[in-house]
Amino acid sequence: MNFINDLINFPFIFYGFMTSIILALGFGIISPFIISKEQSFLPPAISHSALLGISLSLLIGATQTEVFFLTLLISTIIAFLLSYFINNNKLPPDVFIGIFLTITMASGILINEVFLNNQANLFHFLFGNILLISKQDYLITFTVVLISSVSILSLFKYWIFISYDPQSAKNQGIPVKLFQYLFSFILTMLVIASIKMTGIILVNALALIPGLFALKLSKNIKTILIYSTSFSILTTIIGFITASTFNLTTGVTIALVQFILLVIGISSKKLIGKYL
Amino acid sequence: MNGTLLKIENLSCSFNEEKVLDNISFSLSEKISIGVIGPNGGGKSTLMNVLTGNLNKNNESKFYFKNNLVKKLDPRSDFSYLPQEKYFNTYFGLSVLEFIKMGQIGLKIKPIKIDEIIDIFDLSKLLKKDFSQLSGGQKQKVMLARVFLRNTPLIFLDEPTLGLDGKANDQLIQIISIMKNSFNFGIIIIDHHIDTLIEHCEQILCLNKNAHWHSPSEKVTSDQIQHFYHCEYEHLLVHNHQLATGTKAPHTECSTEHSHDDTTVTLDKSGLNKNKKDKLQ
Repeated sequence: MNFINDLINFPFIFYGFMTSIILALGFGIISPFIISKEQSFLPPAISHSALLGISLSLLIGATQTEVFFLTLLISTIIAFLLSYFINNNKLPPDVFIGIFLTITMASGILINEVFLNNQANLFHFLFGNILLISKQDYLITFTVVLISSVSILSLFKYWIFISYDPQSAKNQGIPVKLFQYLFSFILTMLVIASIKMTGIILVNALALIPGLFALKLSKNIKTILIYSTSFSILTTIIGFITASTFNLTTGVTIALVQFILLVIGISSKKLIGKYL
Repeated sequence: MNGTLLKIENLSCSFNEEKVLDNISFSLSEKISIGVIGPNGGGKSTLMNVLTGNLNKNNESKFYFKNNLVKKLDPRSDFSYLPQEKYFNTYFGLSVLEFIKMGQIGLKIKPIKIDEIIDIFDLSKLLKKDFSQLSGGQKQKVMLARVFLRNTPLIFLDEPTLGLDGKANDQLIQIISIMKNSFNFGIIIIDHHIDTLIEHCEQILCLNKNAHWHSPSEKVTSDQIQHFYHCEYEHLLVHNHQLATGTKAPHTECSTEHSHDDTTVTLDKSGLNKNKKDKLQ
């Protein structure tokens, strides 16, 4: 029981572990909605734009908490701009995502190269480093997940309506566009909060796999939510323990554990359906 | 007493600097349904879009709801709308009951009891089924049930019977009539089944950009209809389905000015084949 010893003796492992589980809960709740609203592009777009925010805040020498809020601010603006372009243009949305994603990331890297010159730091943000998570990050993540879960669960029937039948929701006078911006904001908070754990590149797995797993296994929305959340938390715990036991990168390990369980889940459902 | 629910005065609407609707006026009372007919591109769907607030009207246009001048009708309390084109994201399932209940979301007034709606629309056997698995006719019925559940005084229906066969079509039109009379709705229906509309609607509104008339449906003559479509009424009935196929279908042109027709020849509902000469005399 090496892991439990570590958890008790090393505060940074404790905070890293707790932060990951709380984030898993947050992503578990929002993940089915990301997929059913057909917005699987949003998490990567936001996470890549975060690099610009991080570089800018490091440039002005911000403290850890300031880095979070500054990055959140910049990424929110970019996510809103993206939503605006997608809402008000007749061009396919993936064009904008492709362009935004590249440009924001490029400017982030350029700022880093020209002004900061610390390539090692960049690597942490790309793939995540659980050792960087502090008590502050833990508290911020807790608040972020609390806000996002309450926003999703308290307006649950609205989210279902807008995801399933956006046109009728609009015709019934529900402010569909406002909900879209709220959704982008919630997702931005979650993505920014998770960057130290999963990194910019791996956050997609955490945001999409639990929802896909649940949607493949059930049709009922409440069951979907329960499956998605438990899958997300369980795989995070397994991934975290595996990573810390074999000294691997946590975000990478969690992503792979999720993928393996996704494949096992879907194929066993197919097998059960075939032979039972 | 039948109160006036909606009065439209001088409604105009421009689209890319071209007037799609020009100076349209009509009113709608409780327990009355207006059937909107007219060739493709004549402005039927534009009228719906303006009424529901999806398109802006010109400044001189005036809307009165229950005799009060309003800028816009409120979807949370004044009207419910069944659009012609529908799409659903069916990544998760919703039962028919859950689907109908969505009609109550955001509503400011008291909806009709759900059991009552289920009874009238005869949906009790479908309630637990997945909405996305229903047949086209069943879906249409369920969506109509959701629209009526909201109990808003005005109901706007754009092609409620699109894609349905004769029997299902009649059934749906009948339910609409029942709902109208039991709950005092004022209904505006767009449909390409001209004969059905003339039979079931109290009033007919024919739109062709700047031309329109509005009269009790008993007074609608096949002459008038021919005037709008510029072809024989019988031909239109035969090609009913064709009219629904889009702007490429024939009978879309009408450039001549014409006055409001007050001919009072009664349309013989069974004798739609009556020839033109009889009526002119």
